[in-house]
Amino acid sequence: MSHMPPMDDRRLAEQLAKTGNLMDLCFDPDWLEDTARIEDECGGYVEVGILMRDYVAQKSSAAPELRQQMRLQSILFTELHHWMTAWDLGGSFEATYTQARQLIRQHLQDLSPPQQAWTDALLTEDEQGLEPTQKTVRSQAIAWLSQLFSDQDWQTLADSAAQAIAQDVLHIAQHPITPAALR
Amino acid sequence: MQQRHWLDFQTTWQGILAATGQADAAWMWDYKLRQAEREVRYEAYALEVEAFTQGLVFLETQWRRSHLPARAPLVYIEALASAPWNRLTLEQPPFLRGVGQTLLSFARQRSVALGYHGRVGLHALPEAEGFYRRRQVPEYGPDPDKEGLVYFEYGTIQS
Repeated sequence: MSHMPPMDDRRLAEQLAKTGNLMDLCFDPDWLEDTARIEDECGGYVEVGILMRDYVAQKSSAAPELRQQMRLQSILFTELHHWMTAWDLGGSFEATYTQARQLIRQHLQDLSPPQQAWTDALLTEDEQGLEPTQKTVRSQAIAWLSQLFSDQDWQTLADSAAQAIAQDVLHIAQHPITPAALR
Repeated sequence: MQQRHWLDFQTTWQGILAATGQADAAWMWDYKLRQAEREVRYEAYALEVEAFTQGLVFLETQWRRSHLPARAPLVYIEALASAPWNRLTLEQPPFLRGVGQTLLSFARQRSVALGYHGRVGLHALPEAEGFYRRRQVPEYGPDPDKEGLVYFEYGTIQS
């Protein structure tokens, strides 16, 4: 049993005195490097809680494949977010965006050979560390996504948006404003 | 944390787990998200980078107390995880480094904001005990109420 203060508490105290927000340390490259180094020294395991046991115990030999899947989704979802922001969905954005991500995931399980070739090219380009303006494959992402969605997908997205708005309105109806709140 | 964050966990973080039918953790994050929506004492957060979830943390902020005699209130970390591609043992180099410490710092910031002066408690999984010891977080031994997981507790932030 040890009761020494944690090793970077002094640094945290200084940060609190300086800005009042510990998360500002994320802008300090020295702190970030120290943090990353210690995590590396311990194998990268930081998990907490009994219910994370199975997740941590899994010795996945497929991590590189998972990483590829993550990068592909990350790029597509970033472009999707930019695209959908222009749809002016207001309060239904989150529900519709979440639904769109799920639809894309489903399609990624069953790509045609040309679609597979395009996603392979997208990942290859991503690994080259190009400037955003040089990413010609990525610049096609929104057009690619628009072709990926079927008529049924578009209807699903429209239904998600409508349902989210309806829920918001009904929530207001269930919580009527009292006269006192109006004064 | 939004539904899309635990969906990232469910569908991509644990592709292998899903294949072997060990979906407890995915179910757990769904449950935790709903708890956080219903009860103010629970808070769920995701660390998202380029539209994808890289870390998750679930906090209890009102009922838990310190293991020290003063029994001061603290933020208790019910669950914390970093994505598998951020783990050096699985991926070299990791996609992101420092996700765990960033989430821990956030928990301590929440503790400060709630007036608990940085006190944070947690039960580390055996694989992660070395990380908390390396950071010199005070530890209080195996907890029989948590299937023997070792309890660690950050105290008040002192200069």
